[in-house]
Amino acid sequence: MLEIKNLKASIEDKEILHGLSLQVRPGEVHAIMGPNGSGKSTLARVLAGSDDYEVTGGEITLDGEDIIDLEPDERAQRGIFMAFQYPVEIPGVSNTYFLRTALNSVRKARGEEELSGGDFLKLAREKAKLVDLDPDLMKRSLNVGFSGGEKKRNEIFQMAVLDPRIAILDETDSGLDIDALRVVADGVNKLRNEDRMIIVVTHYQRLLNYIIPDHVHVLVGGQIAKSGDKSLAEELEATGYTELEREVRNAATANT
Amino acid sequence: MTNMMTQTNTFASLADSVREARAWSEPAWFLERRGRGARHFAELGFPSQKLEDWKYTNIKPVAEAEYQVPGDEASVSAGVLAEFEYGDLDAHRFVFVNGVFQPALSHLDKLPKGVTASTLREALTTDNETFRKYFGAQADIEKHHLTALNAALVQDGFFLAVAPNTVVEKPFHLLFLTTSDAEPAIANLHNVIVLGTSAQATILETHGAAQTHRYLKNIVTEIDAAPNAHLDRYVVQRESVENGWHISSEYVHQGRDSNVRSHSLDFGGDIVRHNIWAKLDGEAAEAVLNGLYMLRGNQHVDNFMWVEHTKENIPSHELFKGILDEHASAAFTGRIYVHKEAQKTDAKQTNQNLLLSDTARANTRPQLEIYADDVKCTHGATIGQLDEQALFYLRSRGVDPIQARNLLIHAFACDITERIRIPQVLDKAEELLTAQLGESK
Repeated sequence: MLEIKNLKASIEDKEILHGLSLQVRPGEVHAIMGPNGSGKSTLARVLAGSDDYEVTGGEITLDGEDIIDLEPDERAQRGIFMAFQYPVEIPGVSNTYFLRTALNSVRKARGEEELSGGDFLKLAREKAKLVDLDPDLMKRSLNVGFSGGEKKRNEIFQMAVLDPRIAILDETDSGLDIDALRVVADGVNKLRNEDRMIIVVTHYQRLLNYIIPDHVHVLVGGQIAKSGDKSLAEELEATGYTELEREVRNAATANT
Repeated sequence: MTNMMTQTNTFASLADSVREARAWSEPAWFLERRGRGARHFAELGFPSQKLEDWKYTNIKPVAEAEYQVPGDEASVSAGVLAEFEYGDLDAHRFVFVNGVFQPALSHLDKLPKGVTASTLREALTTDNETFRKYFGAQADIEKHHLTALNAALVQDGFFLAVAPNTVVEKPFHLLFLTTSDAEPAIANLHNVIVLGTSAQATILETHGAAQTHRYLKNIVTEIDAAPNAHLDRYVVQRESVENGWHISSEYVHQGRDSNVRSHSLDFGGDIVRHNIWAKLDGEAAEAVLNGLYMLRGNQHVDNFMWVEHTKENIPSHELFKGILDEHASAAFTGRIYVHKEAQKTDAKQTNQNLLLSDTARANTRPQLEIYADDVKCTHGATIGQLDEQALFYLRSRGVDPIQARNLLIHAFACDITERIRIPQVLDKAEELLTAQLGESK
């Protein structure tokens, strides 16, 4: 289980998350929605261990272990995976070589044997089918010259290979046309199982027609303003975030 | 003035010891050139940093050392030699220790007809006509300090002449090692490479030390590529990181449609300077100069090159990439000189440096001097650090920080390494790069 309690996080001394709490149980899919600047991506990146952010308060535990002081690679080795909103292009590092290195680090940490080149390729080919990834892309430099859709598919492909305990998808849908969105969502759905936790961070309700969440949370001003089931997403689609933002502002004024 | 006197005196005794070590007799023209080299060096001395071309390299320690010429008898063990080999690479091999050829460690397989490969001494004793024509034809002993010194003290070298339309498939591996209890030691070598029309050859040079000792290796190379000739050259510099001083001066003359590709890979050396003067002297003569350096500690490598375009349609490409850690420093000066006849020149010059520490330094000076009006010349230089976002990306997938960093560094270097056409040399370059990085934090 992932437990976030009263999490506060800042970037360059500016607090973005003001005491956020969230519980994700095995097998659940949670959607985090919210307007721009509400702290959605901050939450995703803080969970992945980005050192752009400073955690100034609260707790994050994964299956009971406090992870706040863990490095990004140590988190990945414990099964935390974040699909990047903007996957980084790295010329000269081949997709395959990189992913094999990553998988073997993760396997080593789990006490499993490292995979040989041949076994890895077999696994990679099988997982590439999940997101219909062109095998040629695996040989190329990491994300270099990939289209927006290919980059996002590559993220889900990496997720499939690394087989994480918890996956955080940071606006994986933004910028995708409906065909690409379907492929990506299909891939994620195939990776749903009773143990895996998934957090889908998104600005748009559309993705949630394809990845049906168990819980929906709306983030406003660095806090969860409202939680509910998938009907909350539909409600928001109708009303937009403005109404909710006004409510939060009014509540804040009433409190002072 | 006192300094100069000391230098000259030391130099005179050096010249004596080179003469004494000479059990072979040299022809008059060669002795005369030695004399001229000695006179010019006495006037020039070692270059100082006040000279624009030497601004970024302090060779004071090199200039002030009192050198000794080790005797001819030194050799190295097979074990040491193995360290400098390239897996199962099949090559003709010439080994020089302290500037002196080692027949027992060398082997020369059957060569195609029309190919002469020998030592400088052999070319002199047999009075090889091609050698006489090309030796010293380009090397400027009047202006270039270290070339003058080399002329006075030269001990041996490699000579290759390939007849027109002849291809030497197997590479020549030239291994230049030093080993001496007398220090600082000095070795002076002079190589001459002459390719006839449509001839082709590959030369691999490796530099290193067989033991820990202070030394200067001063090496001059003259290359003449006739029309349509092709030369691939790899220089793997692995001199002693703490004690090795290495200065190379290369002179290249290329005829039309010729192609000379040169790759320098610097991992070693305390103070290193490479000079290249290339004259592209025929239409569509193409020069490719690539370099990679990975330095740490107090290492310093300076790449200085002068590429002259004299005719139309000449492409030249220079790409130098460096990785600098700890207190290492590097300099790059690339001058492209385009004569007014050299229309349609296509010159590209790039130097990129990756600094891994706050104390590493890079000075880079790409320069263009253009007198033609229809040319395409570009130059660019960058000095930067590892991309934090890329590091985070790799680490977020489970890759530990050292591996992530090494992946990015190998990726940075791959623009150069992927141009290495000999797989065994490529593997070695990757291995040496990893070894140099391995000690990093």
